[in-house]
Amino acid sequence: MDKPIVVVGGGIAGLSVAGMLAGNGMRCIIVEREASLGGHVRDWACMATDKCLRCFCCSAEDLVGYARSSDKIDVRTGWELSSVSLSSGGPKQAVLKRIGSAEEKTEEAAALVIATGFEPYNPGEKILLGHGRLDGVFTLAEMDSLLRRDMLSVFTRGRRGLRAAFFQCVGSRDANSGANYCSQYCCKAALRMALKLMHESPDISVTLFYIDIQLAGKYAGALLKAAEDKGVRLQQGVPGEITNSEDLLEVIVESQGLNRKEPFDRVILSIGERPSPKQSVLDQLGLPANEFGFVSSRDPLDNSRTAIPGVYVAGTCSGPKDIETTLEHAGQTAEVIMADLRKGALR
Amino acid sequence: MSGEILISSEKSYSDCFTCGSCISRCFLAESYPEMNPRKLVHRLLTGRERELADSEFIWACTLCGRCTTGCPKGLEMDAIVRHLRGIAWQMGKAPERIVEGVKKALEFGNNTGLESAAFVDMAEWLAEELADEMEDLPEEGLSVPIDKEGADVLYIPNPREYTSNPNMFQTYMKFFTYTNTDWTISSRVFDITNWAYYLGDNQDALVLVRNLVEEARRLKVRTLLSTECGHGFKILRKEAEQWLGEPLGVEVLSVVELAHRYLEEGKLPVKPGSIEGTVTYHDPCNVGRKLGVFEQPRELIKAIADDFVELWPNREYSICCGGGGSVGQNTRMGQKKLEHALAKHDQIIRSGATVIATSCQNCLSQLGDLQSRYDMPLEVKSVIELLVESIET
Repeated sequence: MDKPIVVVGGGIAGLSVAGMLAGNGMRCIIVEREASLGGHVRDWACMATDKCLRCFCCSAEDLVGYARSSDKIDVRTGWELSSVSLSSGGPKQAVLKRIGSAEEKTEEAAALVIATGFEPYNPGEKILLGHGRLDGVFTLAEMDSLLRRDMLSVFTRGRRGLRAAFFQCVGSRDANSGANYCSQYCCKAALRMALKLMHESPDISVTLFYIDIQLAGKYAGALLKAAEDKGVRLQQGVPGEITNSEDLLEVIVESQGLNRKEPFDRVILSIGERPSPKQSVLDQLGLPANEFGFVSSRDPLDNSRTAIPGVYVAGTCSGPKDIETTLEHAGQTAEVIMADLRKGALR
Repeated sequence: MSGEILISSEKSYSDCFTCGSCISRCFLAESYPEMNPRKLVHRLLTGRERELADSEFIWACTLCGRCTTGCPKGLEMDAIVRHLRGIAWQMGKAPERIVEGVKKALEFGNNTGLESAAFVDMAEWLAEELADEMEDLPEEGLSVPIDKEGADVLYIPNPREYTSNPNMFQTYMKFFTYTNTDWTISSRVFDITNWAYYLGDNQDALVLVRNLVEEARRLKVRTLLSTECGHGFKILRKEAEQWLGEPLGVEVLSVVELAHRYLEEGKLPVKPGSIEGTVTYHDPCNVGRKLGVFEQPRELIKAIADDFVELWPNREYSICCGGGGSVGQNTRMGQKKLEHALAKHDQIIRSGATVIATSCQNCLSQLGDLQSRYDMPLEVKSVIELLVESIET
């Protein structure tokens, strides 16, 4: 088979699909709008303390390295998919366009993989939580980014004995802000981040405000136990407002049956995953969004294929996921594509 | 007229998944450390309605709705608390003064028990007094059109305007005069308030609303104009049609919205920059949070004052004045309404404003009391009061 598979999105889902297909001898083109590969995960930090906490951030580096070195993968960063023409058996031609110029290139395509990822929830919408207004309020993604750049001092500002609080479900499980679903990564990510912070700065005390902790996966229970053992205070109920006086972030919470005002020095918001802004090519393909705004797969039990033959989905563009489940989904999508190729469904 | 209007099935409190975001947004959280909105829902769900109905908390709550603004499940705490108040009322445990006010409103057309003839005398006397004092009276003079059929607007005052604060009534008279508004008042129904709504007494709440709407129809006016009032205006705008089960056939407008309409049409004879000092605006919960009237009062104030500052937070997350939802009228609550309003006090002081304007009689009364109790260095004004001051400078 000589026609390449066009993968839209160079985050870990797209890289993983392309990597598996290339490893099996198939040619791929990765189309990525940004100048670099790796997506959000490229900006996130390894959460290892004295041991690996299985965040899987390290996967991005390997996947990028493979894509860059494989002679089967053609990487087009700074490009986007402009349009696709379809035939009865699947995609025929994909028109790629260089961002910010009129340059276009038409590629014959054997299949199309949508791996356009998610958009982090903008917590500025929750004005009472003060993100962007109060200096001590960060998001989980911002913390990752600071750790990645070895800039934790931006968070601590040289202070010792910091009282940090995590707020779970910010913009998730929240019909009012348009996301009546669990983002599925944040409980684990926040627990890892709590452990990481306490590892990096042992004098930090951590409270984690949650609605209910939604953990899945065989290592998640151990993560919760490790956090409890390290003294992370787990407190049911997420404050809906942060007030500030002087340098303190104050919240009112119900604790042991009484409303209490509690001061913190820093707050970390565990922001949810939102569908990527709708891309015109999806409209052109007529791919429907599901009730949560993510790209619909063909049916709930066939979540790598879409309703259009030869068009597949991988990763968080089809629903919120953590890194581990994103990689699993991408692997499954690659296998489905190979199966379809083997049985000649794609020509 | 029972539970279904109070708590619609889509927003049932059984949807609560105890996220707790309401707790920190309730201005009573510190005054009542053993109770909060989430606990209230929990007790409802565990069959402790009567215990709640017996509590002071449901009468200290101002129905401001801030706690459930942005609720992930869309609960509406004001509806839930009114439901509980309804139970308390049926148990004979509602505040006497409010119960009494409803009786008077049903009998006399206003909650003070003022008789129609006395009201008309009062209105005419206030107009005469005003005419004597106004120097720049328009040629056609100043009069109070009573029961004028076919007028553009039927103005419904708040009893505060013809009892404790008659100069407010005169302020509105001036406003109508300066803006050449074709207005009238009714000799039968002259009270925008609806204390039955406060009691969770839906039957009587409906009767009071119907009285207003039918009077507007009888007088064939185009607009039913609410004074600067919170709940009365909110009921007319948001609930009346659903409660009556038919279109009102009359436009519902607040006097602030009317002023804003004049401003946009260039018919408001105010003078830019004429109000001195630093002016801020308090969003009444009913006018702002529940009806979304945020920008009109601000645009009006900015048209006459150069130095406008915002309170923080504001608009849909405005902190309640602490005196609404019957708390200000409930003699059982004593001075607690002022003790509960410290967050409001603090945010006003932080703003540095020398004038605080608002557009609800209840908020005006509470902010005035707050100002004098804590000797706050600022004046409390209604938006229309400021506009009239600007016209007169």
